[in-house]
Amino acid sequence: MAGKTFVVTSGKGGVGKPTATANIGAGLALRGKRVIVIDTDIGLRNLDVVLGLENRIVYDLVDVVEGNCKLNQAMIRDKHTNELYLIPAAQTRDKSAVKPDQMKNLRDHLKEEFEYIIIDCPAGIEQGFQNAIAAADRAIVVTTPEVSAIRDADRVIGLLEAAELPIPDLVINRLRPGMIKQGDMMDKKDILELLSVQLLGLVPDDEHIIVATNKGVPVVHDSRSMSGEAFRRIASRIEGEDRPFLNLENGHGVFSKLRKFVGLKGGDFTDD
Amino acid sequence: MIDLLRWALQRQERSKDAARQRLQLILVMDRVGLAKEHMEAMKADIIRAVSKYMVVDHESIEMDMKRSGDSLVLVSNIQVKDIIRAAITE
Ligand SMILES: Nc1ncnc2c1ncn2[C@@H]1O[C@H](COP(=O)(O)OP(=O)(O)OP(=O)(O)O)[C@@H](O)[C@H]1O
Repeated sequence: MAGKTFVVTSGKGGVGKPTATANIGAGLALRGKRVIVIDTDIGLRNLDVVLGLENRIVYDLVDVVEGNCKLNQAMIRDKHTNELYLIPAAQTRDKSAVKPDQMKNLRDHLKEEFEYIIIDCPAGIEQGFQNAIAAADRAIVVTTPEVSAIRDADRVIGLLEAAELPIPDLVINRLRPGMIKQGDMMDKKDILELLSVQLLGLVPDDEHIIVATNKGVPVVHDSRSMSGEAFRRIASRIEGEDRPFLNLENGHGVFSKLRKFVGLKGGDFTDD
Repeated sequence: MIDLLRWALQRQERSKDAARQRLQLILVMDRVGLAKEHMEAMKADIIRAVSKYMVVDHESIEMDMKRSGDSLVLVSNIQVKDIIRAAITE
C-alpha cells in the first residue's frame, strides 16, 4: 500500500486544527479507508481528546521515534471506526524531541499499512511546524474568516511553497452565514482572492462541534449536523469526488428575514 | 416605506470590506518583508534600465517599499547627473 500523507496546519492557534484533523481522519475511515492520525503538538496534546481516546494512551510519538516501544504499541485504535488509529503526542517532552528525518522514517513505515496518514501540526512556524511538514506530500491549511488567522495562513502557505509542497488545500472553519449575509464576515470568495490555494471545504460555526468534543465523538459521526456534513464532503473530495460546497452565505438573522421581506436576496442552507 | 427600508438595509456598514482591504495590504507588506532579498536584484535592474537614458549617481540611489494611505508604493530617489541625448533622438 502506498498511503498519502497530509499535514494539517494553520499558523495561528485556536482556529480548529485538531477538530479538522480528527474529523477528516474519521470521515475517511467512515468511508472504509485505513487511516492514521498523528498528533505532533508535543507538550500540548489534544487530538486524543477530540477523538475520545485519552484514556487509552500508553506510548506516544516520542516513544516510537526513540525506540522505547514498537510502532504498533503506540497506535491507538478508534472506538467508533475500525479503520482509524491515533499516534498521540508526548505530553512531557519539548518540540525538539522529534526530528524531521525521524518523521520521514515513520511515514515510510506507516505508508505500507495505511491509505491515509494525517499529521496534525502544532500552531506556530517553528521547529514543530518544520518536523510536521517534513514528512507530508500535501498540506491542508485551516483558517477562520478573520484578519489575523488569514494573515498567518498566508505566512504558512509561503513556507509550504518554500518547502516545495504542492499548492495547499484550504478549509475555512467557523463560517457564520448570518454575519456573511450582513457583510460582517468575509466569505469564500473574499478569502480565495487573498490566498493562493484551492478550496477543500467550508465548515460552519456550529454548536454540534462543541457537543461532539464534549463527548469525544467527532462531529462527522453526527448525520444531522451541518458541520458533520461539511467534514463528510471534505473526506469525499479528498477521495477525488466532486461534491458541491455547502452554501454558508445566506443568513437566518433578523436582517436577512427583513431583506427577504423587502425583496432582497436571502434563503435557506443549500448547496452553493 | 419599503423603499426606505431597503435603502437603510443596503447601506448598513459592512465591516468585511474593512477586513478585506486591510488584509490586502497586510499580505503584500508581509510578502514584501519576506522578499527583501529580491530588492537588491530589482534595484540593479532598475538602474540598468534608467542608465540607458540618463547618467545617474549610483552611490546616492535609495529605494524602498512604503505604505501610503491605503496602498503600497515603491519610492525611489535617483540623482540624475545628465541626460543621454542619443537615447532621446533615437
Ligand atoms: N466550526 C466550529 N464551530 C464551533 N466550534 C468550533 C468549530 N471549530 C472548532 N471549534 C471549537 O474551537 C475550539 C478550538 O478548536 P480546536 O481545539 O480544534 O483547535 P485549536 O485551538 O485551533 O488548536 P491548536 O491551537 O492546537 O491549533 C474548540 O473548543 C472547538 O470545539
